[in-house]
Amino acid sequence: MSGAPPVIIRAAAPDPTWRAPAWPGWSGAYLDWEPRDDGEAGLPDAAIQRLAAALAAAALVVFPAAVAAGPATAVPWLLRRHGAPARARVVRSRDPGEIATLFDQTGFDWTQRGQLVLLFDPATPPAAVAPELLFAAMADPDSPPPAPCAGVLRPGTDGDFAELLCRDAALREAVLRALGGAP
Amino acid sequence: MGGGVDWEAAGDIIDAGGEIVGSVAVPAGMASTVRIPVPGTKGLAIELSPRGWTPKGGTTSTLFIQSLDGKRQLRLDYGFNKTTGAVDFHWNQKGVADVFGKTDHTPAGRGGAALYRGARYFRYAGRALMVVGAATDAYSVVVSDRPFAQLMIVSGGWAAAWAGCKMFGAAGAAGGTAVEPGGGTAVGGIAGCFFGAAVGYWAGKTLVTMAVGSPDAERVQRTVEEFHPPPGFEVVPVAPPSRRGGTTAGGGATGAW
Repeated sequence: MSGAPPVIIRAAAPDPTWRAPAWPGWSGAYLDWEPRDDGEAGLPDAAIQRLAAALAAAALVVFPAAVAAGPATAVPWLLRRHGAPARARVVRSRDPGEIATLFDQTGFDWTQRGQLVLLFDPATPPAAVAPELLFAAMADPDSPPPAPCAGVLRPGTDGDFAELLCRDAALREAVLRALGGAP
Repeated sequence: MGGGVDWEAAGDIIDAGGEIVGSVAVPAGMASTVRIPVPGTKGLAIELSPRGWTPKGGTTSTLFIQSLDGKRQLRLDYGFNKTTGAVDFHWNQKGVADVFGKTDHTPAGRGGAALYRGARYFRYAGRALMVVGAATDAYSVVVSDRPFAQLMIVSGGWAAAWAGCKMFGAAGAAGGTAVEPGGGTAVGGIAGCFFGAAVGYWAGKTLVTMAVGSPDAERVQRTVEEFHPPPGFEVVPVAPPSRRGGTTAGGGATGAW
């Protein structure tokens, strides 16, 4: 463990039973990490920091979050019947500190695959990303999100790894380069 | 309430309300839907559904001991286990290792496998039975010749069933934790809730039955009817009834129940 990088890039999912989606024109990679030393579920802190920094450097990151303060959006009933809270914040950010919080959001538990991250071109104005786009992607995880969404990051089995899917090959390369390698 | 309790009459009323069906359906429904507290765990409770959003296809876990916000949790899961490298039944935990003595991905063994399957089936069967119990009790109100009284009786039964589930479920969870933290907690809690809900349901209906049959309740009923007589009744002023005891009042307004 002492020599392992915080995030390990793999071409195949660590879970042999994992079924990758077959989205035409999309390319993927799997992001893995060592288990936490304290026996807790979730990512080690080093992996969180490295992932957040890489995503912030490569893309505008959009994900659902709990409503602590600030503006909130009503969550569609289709998601609420699957346990989503009635209201949520839609975070649009390139701040690594804010992006790091996606792994520990009340109501959107990464370790139960209850989180979805959309990636957009870094030049995309945050206001241009409507909440409905995120909610629609959450409601239909089997289908690729429509443009201008350039990539998706979502938890693997028990949140023990992450699946990175990109419509834009350049985005994929940018994220993997920022993580320190490529498969 | 004056005089002795007419248990036979009370039993007849309860049987007419579908007691046999309710005594099984309502407790089963309660145990599968009520959040059963686990004492001494700072807000953890036994549930059969996760807290928070899960994607279409649902969660791979069937049993949860979790906080209200879902941030602290112990859940029984089936799938690829990163620690063992195999597909197995295992416990996933977050923030409760000191409570149950289990780290994330602890294999659950055969007992865990049985508990996993049991929880999955009970979740659906219990909810279906709850619907049956509710339908049975609703029917008893509709067909009763004293619908308002019957509504109070079944409401009392459900309220007491809920309270019994909470109390006995918590006791069962505490006892189960002492035997085997995690699995024992869940089994003890659910069994305790079932027992408590059954006892509560019967006791609640019995107590409310006694209350609605009391002289005080009938006096209130007559007062209400003077202002809002039921169809077919004619209100004729009469002298106040004399207190002659017994569980049913005598004298008073004309017109039959």
